[in-house]
Amino acid sequence: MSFFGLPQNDLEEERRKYLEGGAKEGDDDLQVFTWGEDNYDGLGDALQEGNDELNDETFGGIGQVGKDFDFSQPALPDFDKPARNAQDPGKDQVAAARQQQPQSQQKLQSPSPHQPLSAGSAGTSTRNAGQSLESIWDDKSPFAVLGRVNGASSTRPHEQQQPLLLPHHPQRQVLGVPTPPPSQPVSKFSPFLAHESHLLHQQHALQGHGARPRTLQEIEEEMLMALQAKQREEEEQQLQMERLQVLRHQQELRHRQELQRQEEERRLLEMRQLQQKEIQERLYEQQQYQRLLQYQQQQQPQQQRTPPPRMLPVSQSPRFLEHQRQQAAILLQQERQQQLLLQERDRQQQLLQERRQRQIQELLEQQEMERRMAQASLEDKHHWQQNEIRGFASEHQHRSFNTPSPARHLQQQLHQGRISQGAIPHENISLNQQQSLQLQQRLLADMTQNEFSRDLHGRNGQPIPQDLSAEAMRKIVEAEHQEERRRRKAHKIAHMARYNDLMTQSDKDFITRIQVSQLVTQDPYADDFYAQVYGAILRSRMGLQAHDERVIKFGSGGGIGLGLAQKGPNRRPSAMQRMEQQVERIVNNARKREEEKGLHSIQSLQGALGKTSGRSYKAAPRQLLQVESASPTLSPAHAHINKASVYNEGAAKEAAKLGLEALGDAHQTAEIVRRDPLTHRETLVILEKLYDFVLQVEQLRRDQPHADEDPEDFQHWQAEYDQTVDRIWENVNVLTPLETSTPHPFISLLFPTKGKKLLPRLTRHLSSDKMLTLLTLLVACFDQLDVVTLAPILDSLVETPERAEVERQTQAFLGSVMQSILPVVSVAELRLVTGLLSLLLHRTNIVAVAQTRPGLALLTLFLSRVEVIKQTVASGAESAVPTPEESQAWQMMFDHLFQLLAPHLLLLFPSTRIAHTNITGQPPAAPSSIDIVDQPVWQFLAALALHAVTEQHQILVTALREKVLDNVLSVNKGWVLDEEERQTKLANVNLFLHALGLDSSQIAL
Amino acid sequence: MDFQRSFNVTSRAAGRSATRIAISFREVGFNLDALAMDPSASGIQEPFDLIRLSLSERVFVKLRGDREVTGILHAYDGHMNLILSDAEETIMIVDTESAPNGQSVVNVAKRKMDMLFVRGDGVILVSPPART
Repeated sequence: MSFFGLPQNDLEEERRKYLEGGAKEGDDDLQVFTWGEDNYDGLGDALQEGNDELNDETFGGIGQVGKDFDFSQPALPDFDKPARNAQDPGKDQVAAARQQQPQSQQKLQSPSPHQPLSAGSAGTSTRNAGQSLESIWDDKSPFAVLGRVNGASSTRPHEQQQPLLLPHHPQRQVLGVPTPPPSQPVSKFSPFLAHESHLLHQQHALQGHGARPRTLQEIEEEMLMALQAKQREEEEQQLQMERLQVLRHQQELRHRQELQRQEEERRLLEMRQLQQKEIQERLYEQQQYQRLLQYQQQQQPQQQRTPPPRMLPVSQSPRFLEHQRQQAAILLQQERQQQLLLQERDRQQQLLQERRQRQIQELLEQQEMERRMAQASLEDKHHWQQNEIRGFASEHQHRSFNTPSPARHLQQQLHQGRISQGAIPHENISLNQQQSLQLQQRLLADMTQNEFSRDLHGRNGQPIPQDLSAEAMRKIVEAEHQEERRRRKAHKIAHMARYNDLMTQSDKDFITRIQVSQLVTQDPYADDFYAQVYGAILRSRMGLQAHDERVIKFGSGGGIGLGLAQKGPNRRPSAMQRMEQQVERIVNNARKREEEKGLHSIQSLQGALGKTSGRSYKAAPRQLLQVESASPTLSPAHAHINKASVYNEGAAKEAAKLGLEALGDAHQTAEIVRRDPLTHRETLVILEKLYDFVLQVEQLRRDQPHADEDPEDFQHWQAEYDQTVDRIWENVNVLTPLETSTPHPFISLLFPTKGKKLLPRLTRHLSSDKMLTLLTLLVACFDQLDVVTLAPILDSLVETPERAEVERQTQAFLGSVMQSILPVVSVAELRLVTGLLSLLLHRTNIVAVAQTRPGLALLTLFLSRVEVIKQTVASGAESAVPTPEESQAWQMMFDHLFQLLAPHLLLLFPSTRIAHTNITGQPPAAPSSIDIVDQPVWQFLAALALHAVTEQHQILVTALREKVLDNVLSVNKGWVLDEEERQTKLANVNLFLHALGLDSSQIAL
Repeated sequence: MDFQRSFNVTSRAAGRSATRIAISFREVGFNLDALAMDPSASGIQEPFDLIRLSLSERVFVKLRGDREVTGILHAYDGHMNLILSDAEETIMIVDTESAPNGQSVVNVAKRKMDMLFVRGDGVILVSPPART
């Protein structure tokens, strides 16, 4: 072939040869020849690149691009590779035997599109690949030719090329300019040339082997050639592999598409089978979902097959897949929407056409009937028309899959009952049916047109189609609406589900861990204090167990406060449980880690490189002066300042007193050093200290370990607890001698509201004898209490801040202090009660005390306790029966009390006192309130009456007659309008009268 | 009653946590113990300890904007946010315009609240009410 003809030829041939595939092996020489051409430039590269995987990869990649282009040629679609594969070896042999392939043969074989994977290409790779790689191999590095000798000894036939190729070599090297190989006719793929060259090769081979010794250069080049050839073969192979993969992939894709299409078609067919409108709609809906489902099912296996997310590269992570899937689903939906739109249009068109046709039909019919032409022919014509219309209609219906057509509806109505209208599986059948329907219709028409032509008009005519079409229209619109709604819903769901499963369970766990770690605190109870206390109150109100603390504790400190228990069964509890479990797991893990750390004693290394300050210096400015206020030893520089302030006059006095006290102790005298009563400030300071201790004790109580579980721990705890309680006891100042000060320090502590409120919390931890001591002190100093001394303020109805304050204090006292001593008194023996009463009578002004609410409460408490004791004795309970002396002592003490109080009985009533002080006659703000404040007095009098003997009763009645009568009269005469007040008054009176064995109703007016 | 008690309980806790978070004024070099009559007895180490003494007590609070509040202190924190119950607020309104001869007239407005949260940034001083 001529030099100039080559380019076109080359391309053509290249493709052909490539397509030919297996035949290439035959072109041994040809290939060799081609490589020989490349040899010049690829020399060095080849040597270097031998068995270099990276390079192979690189080149392979480039090669692949080229091939892809080639592959997109028409040869692609056919996929009969296996057959070719099978043929290849044989062909190979044949080709090898012949050594050369005529062009005609190549042409014959050209349809073969694919390269065999294994067969001939392994031996001698295709020229095509070489050609496509030419750009890479060509002229890249002139010095590559300088060549290296490598150990590969080759006796392959390739070496035969050498002599022929040699002449080009120096040329290029000298020029130093990359000259494109196509300029060499030898390099081209002309079979003729190849043939020639082959012949030449043979000659050379003969010469080389037989006659003359080869030069070093020759040998070198031979070796290089061999190497290059080998490498190229490898690359070729690789390329082919890749190409095959691509192909296979494409094929697969196409196959899948095909399948999908088929499926779609199948589905369409299915849809066509359904005839009734409602069923159609429903089915369509189902199918849509089904399709989605199917799609998902198709996708699911893929997803399942994907390895766990952590092992995947980023791009292939499940969320990526998921996303793709979602997008695909959306696309699908859009497609469907379009289809629906098209369908809709079809439907409408169809409707229009049908209506038109019906009109035409009717016209025809009318004409027919008017003219009264020959029936048979006319009928034929008419039915032909109808037939045509039907055909058209059905066609239409089938094209636009299964739209609810009025025509069909009409048919159904017309032929209802004549032909079963069940689901007809196939188009053919339905067509057949239609034909039969038409036949029947014709018969019908034959019959009816003779006799009931009018009737026929009515039935076949306009009214029915109109109604039906309207109906159909309505239904269509309805269906559209539904469809629209459904679509929107589906879209919304899809939209929401877009991010489904984006997070793995471990991700979620991780986040939970972060969140939970924020909740862990050293002291969950205190940090969540309000919630805990509120929860405790709520629980007690709901009647749940108080010990059910909503705190998760983690061994040595730290924990999480849980919220309140959920009311009612909802889904929150399970979430809470899950959370708790998680937290427990996390904490356990953390603990384990901690233990491991401990094992490896990493902590010993902590701080080895110096400490980091945990404190932010932004928050705390640098400390200029370092004064330790807690330590008494002061630096000399500051000593004088502090001395001046500390040892002021008051302090000096205090010191003197202390010295005196110490002196007194030293002298062992019983003389009591009087001190100034605690100032308000001191009281507050002590109270705050007490609060600290109380809180500490309460915390200890909560942390109380089980005595059985850990005795040592319990002992330790017990010691700490006792110590704290002792400190409380110290600070309460109960043991301070009575005469130390007035008021007594303990009473001073009860002045502030918080002191009163602290007492019940404090007494809970005190032992019973300590409590007794406390009670005794309290009774002994009862008139020192602010609530007693300030009680007269309450005997005024004028609202002043002072009164409000006293009222508040009194409430606090009754609510807290009395409550705290109640349990002690309620178990006290008669002797003790007698003692307490005598103490009260001797040490306090009982009349004044009795005129206060706290005093009355205390007295009532004593009296009722004795009454209880008396009753238990009377009932013969085995409890400690008081000795006669004790009873006698009590009676004496009671008589004394009665004697003291008798003259002032009326004054016990706040109402009387108010009346006395309030001479101006200012009406009380709230009338009923007087009766309410009187109530404790009535109660006390009732208690008094219970213990009183007959003479004392008489005294009582005489003293109180006026008061009683007053109350009863005011009720009976209707002076009191308020029903509630009346009730209170009566109840008050009765309270007292019942104690005497009387009732208000017995009083005759 | 139950509520009252529980409220007291909560206010205790608040006081406790407040002292825990309070900035230690010891660093200023001001020895507050010097102020106490009995250094060994008082646990006062910082100004907030003084406020702590007034917990559950009636306090007088002077506020910015010519306002004063008295009430029972239930809780406070490091920002001097206060919770007062039974509070009475006194607002001084100085009226300079309506006065005849340049003299300003001070109007006093009072109002009462059962429970009050006082934001700490307005607090100028907290003191126990004057005792007779």
